[in-house]
Amino acid sequence: MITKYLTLLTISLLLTPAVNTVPNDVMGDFLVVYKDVVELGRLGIDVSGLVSKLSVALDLISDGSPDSLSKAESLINDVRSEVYRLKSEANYYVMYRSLYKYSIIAVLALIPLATYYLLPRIYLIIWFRLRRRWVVKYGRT
Amino acid sequence: MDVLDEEVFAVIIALAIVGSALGIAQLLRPEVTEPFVAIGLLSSDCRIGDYPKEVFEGEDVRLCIYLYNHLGHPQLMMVKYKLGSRDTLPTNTSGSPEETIKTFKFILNHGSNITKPVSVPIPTGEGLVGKDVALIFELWLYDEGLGDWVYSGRWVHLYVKVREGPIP
Repeated sequence: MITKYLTLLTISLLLTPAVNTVPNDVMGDFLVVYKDVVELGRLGIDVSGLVSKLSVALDLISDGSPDSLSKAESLINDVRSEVYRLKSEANYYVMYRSLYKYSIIAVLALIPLATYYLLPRIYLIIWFRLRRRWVVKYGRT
Repeated sequence: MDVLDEEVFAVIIALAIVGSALGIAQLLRPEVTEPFVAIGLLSSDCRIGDYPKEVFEGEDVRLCIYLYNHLGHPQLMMVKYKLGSRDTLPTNTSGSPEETIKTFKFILNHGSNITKPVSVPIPTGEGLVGKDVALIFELWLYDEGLGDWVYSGRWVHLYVKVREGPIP
């Protein structure tokens, strides 16, 4: 009987470190993915969905139960795959964003010039159109 | 005949130049000019005020923590709960020397906040009964470059008087 208990105790002691390493592994995976998400966030990419998922994963890791850790691992894997996809599109996104930004700046810079050249002409066209039915009469009224 | 008055035209051009310059300045300025994080302590109903003044030894005190991220990127944050006194409060540059009793981790996107109920223990058998103690909540940020937690310089604390625990 005592031998059985001792065997069980030995097995449980041997298993304890293995169980304790799981949260650390999950947390390590979490930190790696978190670093990538921060990088994407710094580039101006919308990572709100990824942050929400990581927040849920963090709560599950804090819970610490095997079921929660498994769910957290699954969520982290989801985020990881999404991060890979976003990373591959990041350069294109940054280029597109810069192009869009500087196009807007160019348009804004052209507004005073456009106003200078077009405003008198447009004003004149409208002025004549509004008066096209006017009849010019010569002589005293 | 002048169709468009010269002075009116000059004013319109001036307005166009000023508007254009302001628009360009708005686009060129950095999105976050002053990055910061904030921490707040709220009552158990997650409201300002109505904080506990007395707590029992061994009790789990229920409070709410408010966090805000304005760093320009997502941030992993940790709130460290410590028990201290007037002499062991944190400063803007260093955390309290007291031992961390409990930690709470959060991740927040830029511009977002969170208000989360937390439960913090009052330890027993540490000679706290009858004393005024400070429940200290320090905000630490994870520096992904260093791979370590860094004290943000932000903290909140609440003074409470510890009473002997009620007999069960």
